[in-house]
Amino acid sequence: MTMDCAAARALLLEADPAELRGEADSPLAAHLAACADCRAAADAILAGEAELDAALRTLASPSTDPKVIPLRPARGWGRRMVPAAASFAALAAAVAGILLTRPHTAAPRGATTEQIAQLMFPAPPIARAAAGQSVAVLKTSDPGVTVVWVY
Amino acid sequence: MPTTGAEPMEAMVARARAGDERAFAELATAVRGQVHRWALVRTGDADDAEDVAQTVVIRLHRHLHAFEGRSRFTTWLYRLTASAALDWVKGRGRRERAHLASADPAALSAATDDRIAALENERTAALVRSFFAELPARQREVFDLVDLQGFTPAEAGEMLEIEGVTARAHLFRARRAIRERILAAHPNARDDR
Repeated sequence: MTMDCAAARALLLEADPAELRGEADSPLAAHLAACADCRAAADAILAGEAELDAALRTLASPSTDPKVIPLRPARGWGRRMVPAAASFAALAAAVAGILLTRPHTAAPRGATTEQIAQLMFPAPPIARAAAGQSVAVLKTSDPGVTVVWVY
Repeated sequence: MPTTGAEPMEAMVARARAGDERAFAELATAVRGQVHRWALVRTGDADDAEDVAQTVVIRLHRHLHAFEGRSRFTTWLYRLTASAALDWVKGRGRRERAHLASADPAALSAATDDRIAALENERTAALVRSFFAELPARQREVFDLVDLQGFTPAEAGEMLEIEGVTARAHLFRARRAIRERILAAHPNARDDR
């Protein structure tokens, strides 16, 4: 063993994960193969980073509460559409996002989100989404309007 | 970047670009989790990240035709996510709270802290808090891309539009901070000699 533990511990803090796993051909990897204490420290680092990865994956999963993002149509109505989440959720339980592209038809002034949705979708479109998917692209009766559902 | 089993990502992108809406839905579903993760790490806010991820799906639909394959799709998508994250935070007037430019330990939102607190392991929760509160956004991004998601420093640099050597410098600083925190939480692995 040519590297001492103090030097190995310093290198552990910046080494590539492959080196910590002993997959590299390096003085540090050689030390880790021979020193149980430093091996334990390397294993703790790898385990901690795996925990962090799993936690971030958990945090980056959609919440279970239905939510609607207010979005400005690509062009057309010229004002931000602010949906009433509760009534919209009644129309399609887990819909989270909506895109209006090239809206040719003007919504009635003061229309609620539910009224707009009923104007655009004769039937709840969520039923037409493919199984196993969380995004659906739907054409409406207006060829100028496409809806992207994120649910 | 996740794949979708039978069909390579590139083929799905090509079909979606050609106007196949079903392919777009498959593509968006396939990348949504990845985009959400990127948005979370970039903004440091769980709620913002979810909103950004949904916005990116919308923008993907609007702008996919502009993807010409000059860069990898992953790189293009990352930049789309970064742009959406910046716009989202600007739009809400909360740049100072979203960690985009600095690491403010007091800036974790209550919603984010609640979701971290819901993690089963307290030690993991403390590590995640440190990740967000102690690391500047750029260090978080590089560390997550390289050490947790398997991109090379050069790829991360391209995604973040920084030099590879700069990405490596951020990576080493982030590793040191995270690993010191991990070892501090593992008494048996500390160097007590």
